This record gives sequence, structure tokens and C-alpha cells, in this order.
Amino acid sequence: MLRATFAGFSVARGALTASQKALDVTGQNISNVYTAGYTRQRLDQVSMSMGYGNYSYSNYTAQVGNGVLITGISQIRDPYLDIQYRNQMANVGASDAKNSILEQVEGVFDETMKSSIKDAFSDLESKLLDLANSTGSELDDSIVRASMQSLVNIFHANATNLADKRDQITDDFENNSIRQVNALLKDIAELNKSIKNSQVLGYPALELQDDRNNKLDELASYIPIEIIRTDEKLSSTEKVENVQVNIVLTRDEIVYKTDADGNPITGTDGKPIPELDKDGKPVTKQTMQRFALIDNDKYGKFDAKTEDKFTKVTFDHLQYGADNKVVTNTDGTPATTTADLTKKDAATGDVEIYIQGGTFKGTLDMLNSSGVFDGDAATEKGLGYYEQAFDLLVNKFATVMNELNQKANDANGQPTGDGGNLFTTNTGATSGFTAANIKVNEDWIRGIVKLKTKQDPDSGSTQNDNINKFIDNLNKDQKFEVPIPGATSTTSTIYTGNFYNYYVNTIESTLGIEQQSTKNLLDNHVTVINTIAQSKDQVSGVSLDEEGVNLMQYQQSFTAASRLMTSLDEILDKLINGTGVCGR
Amino acid sequence: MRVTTSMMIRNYQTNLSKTSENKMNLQNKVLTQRNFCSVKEDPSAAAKASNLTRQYLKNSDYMDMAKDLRSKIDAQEDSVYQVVKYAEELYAKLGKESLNGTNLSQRDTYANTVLSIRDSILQSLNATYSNTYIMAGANGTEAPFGINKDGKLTYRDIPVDSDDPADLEKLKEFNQETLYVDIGLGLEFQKAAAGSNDYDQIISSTAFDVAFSGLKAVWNGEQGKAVPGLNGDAADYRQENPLGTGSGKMANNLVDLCTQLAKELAQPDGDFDYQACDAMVTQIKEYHIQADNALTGIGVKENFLEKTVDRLEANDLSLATQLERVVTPDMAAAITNYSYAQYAYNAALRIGVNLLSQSFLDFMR
Repeated sequence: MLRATFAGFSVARGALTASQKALDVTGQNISNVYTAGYTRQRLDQVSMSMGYGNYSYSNYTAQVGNGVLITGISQIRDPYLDIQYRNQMANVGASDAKNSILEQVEGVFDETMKSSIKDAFSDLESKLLDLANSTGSELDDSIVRASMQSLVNIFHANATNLADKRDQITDDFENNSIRQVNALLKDIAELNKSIKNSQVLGYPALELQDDRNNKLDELASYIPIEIIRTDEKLSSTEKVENVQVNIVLTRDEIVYKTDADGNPITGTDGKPIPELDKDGKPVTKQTMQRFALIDNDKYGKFDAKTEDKFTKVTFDHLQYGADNKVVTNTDGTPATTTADLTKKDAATGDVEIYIQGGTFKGTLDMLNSSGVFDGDAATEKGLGYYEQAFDLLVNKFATVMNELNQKANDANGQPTGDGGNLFTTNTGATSGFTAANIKVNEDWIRGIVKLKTKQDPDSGSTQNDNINKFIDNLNKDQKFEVPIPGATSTTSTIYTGNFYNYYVNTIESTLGIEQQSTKNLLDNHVTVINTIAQSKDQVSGVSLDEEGVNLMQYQQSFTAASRLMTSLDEILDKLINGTGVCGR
Repeated sequence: MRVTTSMMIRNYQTNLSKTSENKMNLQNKVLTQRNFCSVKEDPSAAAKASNLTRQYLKNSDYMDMAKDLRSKIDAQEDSVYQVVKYAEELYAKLGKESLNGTNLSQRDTYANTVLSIRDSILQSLNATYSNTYIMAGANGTEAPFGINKDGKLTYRDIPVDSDDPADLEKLKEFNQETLYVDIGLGLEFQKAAAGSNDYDQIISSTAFDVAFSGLKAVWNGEQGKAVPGLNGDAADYRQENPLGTGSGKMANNLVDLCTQLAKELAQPDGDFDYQACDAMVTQIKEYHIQADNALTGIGVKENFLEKTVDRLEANDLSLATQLERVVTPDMAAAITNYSYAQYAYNAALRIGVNLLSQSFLDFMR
């Protein structure tokens, strides 16, 4: 094959272009070495060979390539690491949310460095002991009352503090987290559109893809997601990427009895019969369900509403038609279906949160779950647990103290002697005490009700046996019982012990242990995510050393291409201007 | 392994943050001199500390209470001791036939002395401590002993030398009155039977009974003894004696006996009955023994309190030591650990300076 006279120039020109472009990519990489989420870019180039056939046979069959061809600029990314990273982000998000809420509760109940309920109980006991040794003194009665007032004030302060925390967390969830997630859904859908438009025009839109990946990572920290990428062919060579983002729900579904052929067995009412466990409860199995939140430029949204300390979260997911495409309304907006993310069964008190990870999971666990106070006692110990455990303490305390201070009956069954309720609620009731509604009976403050110092009104003026009963009741075991939701007149005893130890064990220590385990879990998740992030960086991160070497390399290749150009020029110069000049 | 710049920086930041957190925790330990500043740092130790703190505070309360009770019992002891001494004085002055052959003038002096001692005994019986009558059983707000219009001793308004069985029963009830105070003996109640009108009773071994009735020192708990030789003779001193019941008996308590004795001593020479006086003086000796026994009873209580205070003080030390062991760190170790953490932090910073400033680019020409 005969070589075209100027063929070498195009090779040199291609080499110059490729070197310049490679230097540009290196510059882009160096510029973004500290840009969050930036993915290292690489110039894709191939050795070019025109590969056309010979028109005339020639003995010179050795074929040389036609230089270098730039095929594009690509990102170096491992999708598998992205999946791992996002799954782990969900775990980190859940633990982090829980940890940060528990830290707020810690401010209310941890008394390691402050004087609060435990000291108030000790003070009350001390004052009662003093009174036992000096009954008959009006002053001592008022000192005990002051001590109880102080305890009630702390009950109020803690209840208010806890209620404020709940309000702040609920408000933050509804107005920040939900909005943020909705904004992310919209942003990702818009990025999908922009990226697709760019790809249609042949631009890879790498920076937009980085941006989308960042937003997907952020979305994964809120809710567990699954990303499905499919290529859509525009032509035999051109394609664009479709991205679908699903939320992954985990639900417990009832298992129904089946016959030998696997067909459901129905009862006389025609309904399938559930399998029952040894306790007679329906057997359930965990199933995973996926709902599309984003499909290219279509997206759904989340909504949250809080009533009676339960945050109900719903989401609108996309609907698909028979053609497997998103159904749209006449105005072009996507048709959506609303589904529950959280649910509370009013009858059984069961609280369900259908996701297994993410900030939403951590926050909703804390907002909606109450541990042993829920129908399903195995739920997380959320804010409800601490609120109700605290109220239980207050109710038990007030009830026991009131009972001890009831007037004795005389021979005719008529109340006589000192006594009366020491505590009432804000509305004057003597049952259903909570930390927020308890108050020292105004009649006690006015002196109408007195602390009953003796059981028998006819006994000596300094008899103190009833004060001793107060002391005894502060020390002796009390049964702290909670009604089992959904079950009638059935209670479960969650703790047996005195008031002080109840507070230490059921509230303070439980909180400490929960915090410790959550922090450990969070640390573990962070360690794992750091490892994954390291792996991602290994693949996608920019190395200044590498880029430095690339700078030298591409500079040299540019110089070499220039030299090639010069050489070719000199050859041709020789051929054109220096050939055939013999005899001139 | 491909090492990238962002990877190095992330790694560095993570480790620097850990080192810094570790340094801060150890620094807090040194500054607060506590092993933990929140329950989450060590829930088990925190629960233990809460428990120990409560025990410590209760023990302090019990200690204060036991000390206060000791003072109260001391005051009871002083009063009963006075009664013992007065009885002894009466016996010493009037015994050993010292009245034999005395004339009215001499006996008047004796009678005045006896009445004066009687008043002193009464004062001792109505002794107070912190505005509470300490010989009043469980009725410390009112003076337990008094003299009624008949000149008779009363305890909580009931005549002590009464022949009415109901009065006697009531006095016995008063005498057995209890007033328990919790001093860390495991206060516990015996619950009254369901449906009964009884009240829950403290199990006596689980609390300290601080009640003391002055009756124990001056009252024999029975009706008065007959005076030997008089046999209820109508001509005896009782006819003029407002205390007399006509039964020819001596008063059943030291105070009324003193009144009786003074009356008898004031009898004119012809009417004075030496035998009756002698019998009464002998009876005073018995009251002396009784008061002395009451004193011993108080001494036993006092001794018990002494031992209780010793036990509580030992507990106090033990609990404080246990609490310190749980809460307070070994300062030498804490400071050493902190110094090492500071050193590690400084080293991490030094590495950072090198790590962040250099790459291949720095060496290109």
C-alpha cells in the first residue's frame, strides 16, 4: 500500500490533540482533588487504524495505524461499591439519628453531673426521717411538703423539657427531613433529565453524574433505597441511561395455611386461615417490597403528620402501566399511589415502621416507639418509653403517697383525724397522674389537708407510725405495672423495686445502656462506611502523585508529537525542496 | 493498593478526630476527677454509684438520727437519774429510824423537804428535749405528768393512783406505747389482717423505739399496797389525807407517795404514825430500785445507740471508700493517660503537616 504523503501529519495532529486533552483531564482532576463526591476522570483513547482494503496489490503489506483517537472521557467508578456505600449510609443514618435523639434525652434524665430526681427522693426520705423524730411540729410538716413540692417541680421541669425535645424533633423531622428528602427526590429527577438530555447530545455529563451520585448518597442516608440503572438505546451506537430509585420496605406478612399443592386453605367464611405459633399468634414472615420514588424525571414525595405523639409518614410512589412505563395524568404529572411508611394499630397498640435503615428509621423509632409500653413490647425504646416510664413513676408515687395519707375511719366508718390527698392533677383528679399534670394538693398548702403522722387518730400526739409508713413505702418494693394494649384488664409488671431504683434502672440506666449500644453500633457502621469510602476512593479518588506523573507524561507526549510533526516537516522539506536539485 | 489524596486525607481526619476525642475524654477525667461524666460512659458503674450514693445518704441520715436519738436518750437518762437520786435522797433522809421520836417541828421540816423533792421529781418527769416532752411516750407535745385538783398525780390527765380498772388499763397501754424511728435496721411493717380494724405494726426489731413513759420510773403498775399496822383503821392518817381512798393503801407511785408521806409527817405529835411512815419510806426504797431499773433499761438503749452510731460510722467510711473506688479515677494513671493522649495528638498533628503539604508535584521541576 502506498502511504499518503501527508498521512503522518494527521497522526501527529491527533497525538497533539490527545496530549492536550489528556492534560485538560489531568487539570480537571487536579482542580477537583478536594471536591466532595468528585469521580476521577480519564481520557478514553484508542489506537486508530483505518483498516480499509488495498485497491492494488502491493508487496508492501506492513500496515501502520493512523495514530490516536479520543473516544470520550469517562469516570472511574465501581457500582458495587456505590450499593455497599448507600446500604451502609442507611445504617449510619439510623444509628446517628437515634444517637442524637438519645443525647437530647440524656440532658433530661442523666443525673451523673446534676442534682435532680434521685437527690429529691433522698431529700424527701431525709425530711420524713426528721419528721418521724419530731412529729407534732407544724414546721416539719411544711418541710416535708416543701421537699415534695421540690420533687413535683422537678417532675414538671423534666416533663416540660422532654415535651420540648419531642416538639423540636417532630418539627425538625416534618419541616426539615421530609422537605429535604422531597427536595432530593425532585433534584435527582431533574438531574436525571439533564443528564439524559446531555447524553442524547453526546455529552457524558460527568459532573452532573457526580452531583446525582452525591444526592443519591444523601438520599440513602434518609431512607433505604435501591437504584436500578438501565440503558436505553437511541441508535445502534448511541445510548442513554435511565435511573429508577426505589424505596425498600420491609413488612411482616401473615403466613396462611396451604394444602399439599400450595393452594391456600380457606375457612368456612371463605377467608384464608393463618398459621399460628405455639402462643396462638399468627406466624409472620418478613417480606421486602419496592416502590418507585423516582423514574427518570418523574418523582414521588413524602408527607408526615403528627397526632397524639405518633408521626404518620406516607409517601406517594409512581404507578406503572402494563407497558412498564410510569402512568401520567392528563396534565403530564405522574400518577401516584399513597402508601404508609408508619402505622399504628389503635386496638393492639402495635407500632410499625416499614423501613430498616436511614435517618427516617432512627427518628421514627424514637418518635413513635415506646418499647414495653407498645402492643409489641419488642419495639425500640423511643421517646414514648421514657415519657411513659417517667409518668408511671409519678403516677405510682402520687397514688401510694395519697393512699398512705387517707383519713382513718372511726367506729362508725366515718373518716376522722388528719389526712387527705397530698397530690392532685391539674384538674383536681386523684388518679391518672403524669409528670406534667401532678401538683401538690392546694388544700395541703392551705393547711386544710395535713400530713397524717399516725394511723390511729387517738394515739399520742407525737406518734409517728404513719410517717414510718411513708418512709417504708419509699424503700419497699413497688410493682410498676402497665396495661397490655389490646388486652382487657391485663397488666404486665415491668419493674419491682422502690421508686429510686425504678428511676435508676428503668430510666437512667436503660437510657445509658441504649446510648452506649447505639454509640457502639454507630461507631461500627462509621468504621464500615469509612472502609467502603476508602475503597471508593481507591477507585474513584484523585491521586496528586498520579496526576503529577500524568502531567509529565502528557507534556512529554505533546513534546514528542510536536517533534514528530517537525520530523515530518523536515522529511517533506527534504522531499519537496531538497530533492532533484542536482545540477542546479 | 491505589492510594489517593482524598483517601489519605479522610483517613487522617478520621484518626485525628479519634485521637482528639480520646484526648478530650481523658482530659475530662483529669479535670472532673471522675471515671465517668454520664451514664452512657459506664452504665454499670453509674448504676452502682447511684446505689452507693443513696446508701451513703441514707447512712448519713441514720447517723445524724442515731446521734440525735442518743442525745434524746441521754436527756431521758438524766431525768430518770434525777428521779433515782431524789428517791435515794428521800430514803437516806427518812430511813434508818431517823423519824423515830421526832417532834412536829422536826417533822415539818422533813415534810417540806419531801414536798420539795416531790416537785423536783415532777419536774424531772416533765423534762423536755427540743420542745418535746421526753417522758411522755408517744405524746410528746403535752406535759405528761400533772397534779389534779385533788392533789393527785396524773399521767396524760388520768389519775395514776386510781382504783378504776379502766384507768389502770389505760395507763398500762400508755406505758407500753412505742415510738419507732428508722435508724437503718431495715424498717418493716407487719401488715394488719385484712378486714380487721387493727393498724399495721412496725416489727420491733426493725426500728429503734424512742418512746419512754415516765411511769416506768415512778409507777408500780398495780394498785397501792396496804399500809402495815393500819389496816384501814378509820382513825389513821387517811381520813385527813385527800389522797386516801379509804382502803388503807399506799399510793401506787412515787409522787403521790411523797404527798402521802408529807401529809403524815405533818400530823400532830399524837396522830403521827411512825409505822405508816416507815412503811412508806420502805416503799420509796422500792421505787428507787424501780427507777434504777428503768435507768438501766435506758442505759441498754443508749448502749445500743452507741453501737449503732459506731456501726453507721464504719458504714459511712466503707460506703465512701466504695463510692470513691467506683467514681474517682486513679489520678496517677489518669494524668499519665492524658499526657500520652496529648503526645499522640501532637504526633498526629505533625504527621498532618507533612501529609497535607507534600506530593509528587512538590518534587517536579
